[in-house]
Amino acid sequence: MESKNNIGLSQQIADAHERLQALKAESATPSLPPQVQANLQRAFRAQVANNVHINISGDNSLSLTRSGGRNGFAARLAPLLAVIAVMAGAMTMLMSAQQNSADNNDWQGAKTGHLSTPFIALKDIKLIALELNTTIVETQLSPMQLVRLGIPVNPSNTASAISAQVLMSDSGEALALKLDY
Amino acid sequence: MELKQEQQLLRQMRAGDEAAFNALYVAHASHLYRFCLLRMRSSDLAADVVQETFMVLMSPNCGFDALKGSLAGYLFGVARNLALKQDVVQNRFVAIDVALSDEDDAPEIEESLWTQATASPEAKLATAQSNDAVKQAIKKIAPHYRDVLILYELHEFSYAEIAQICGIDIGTVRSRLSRARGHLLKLLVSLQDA
Repeated sequence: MESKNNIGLSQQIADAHERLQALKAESATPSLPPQVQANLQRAFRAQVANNVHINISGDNSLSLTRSGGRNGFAARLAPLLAVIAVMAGAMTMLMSAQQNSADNNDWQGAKTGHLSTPFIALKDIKLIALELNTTIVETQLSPMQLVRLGIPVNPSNTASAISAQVLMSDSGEALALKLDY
Repeated sequence: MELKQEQQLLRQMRAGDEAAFNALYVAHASHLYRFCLLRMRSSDLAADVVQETFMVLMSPNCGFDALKGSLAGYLFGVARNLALKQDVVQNRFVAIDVALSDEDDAPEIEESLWTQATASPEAKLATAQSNDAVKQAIKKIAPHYRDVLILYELHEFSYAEIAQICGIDIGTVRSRLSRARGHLLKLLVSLQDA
């Protein structure tokens, strides 16, 4: 009796599975109303119209929103300004480090103002590439700030600041930096 | 679509390339729509949810992180959350039959039993006319079971992907899928008997 019930259950399972497979085949390509795509395209164009895109290099395209309101330019700059304010001050250690590295040609070049580094990623490059709104801030960085960003600095140098371009995220996080000499 | 190609399209879309946005839409919209159609009770609502999902994707606040999972998984997760909100708005959670609660007597059906069974010839013949009945049965299953069932059986997502989409762990995906099959079976049998 139990065996008969089991056969019945397995048959029901098989039938249900078959019906799901049939449904899967039937609903493989439902077509969305065309106005959905049209609406989205309109929204996309409107959004793009409010953005200006800055190419920094190669395939990295960075956008800076122009529009006002909560996500506007001023609102986006606020965290950047805060970071710049924190950064204002130190700038010394790295230049001193250069002076103490007489054998290092790059640093010598840096001292004479002929060199700049490529952008140095401060976090995973894949995460940087996915940032939606980024901007580049030109600033002066102290050795302590460079240390905080994970850039090695000669600890015996504490005096000078160094020019840098910092790639900032929408939330004010430093994503990458380029040192200019 | 390959992950690398998808990442490239996403970058281009974020740089303002409409063609890239269209390519992503074409790649994912119909799958999302199929999911929403099976999950919701109105095709208009399903289309709205798909549209909202892509609005989230193009938003500057889009939280997609390629390190956490695929874009398809992210989009299905967004669509599911939007659909759940719609459920709440329309008070559909209370419509769940008491018989479909966690404590009911629906059998749990394991993967091996489910996939190895062979349908009867009568069932094969009947399936062509019974898709509507299956859809109705799926819609009667509680949402937390129904989503897992649709994502696994009809969209072929892996357990891990479903875990990401639904925000649950893989063990829970397994148990919900097993129970969802049991509920579906029970509903189909009752429909057949009726």
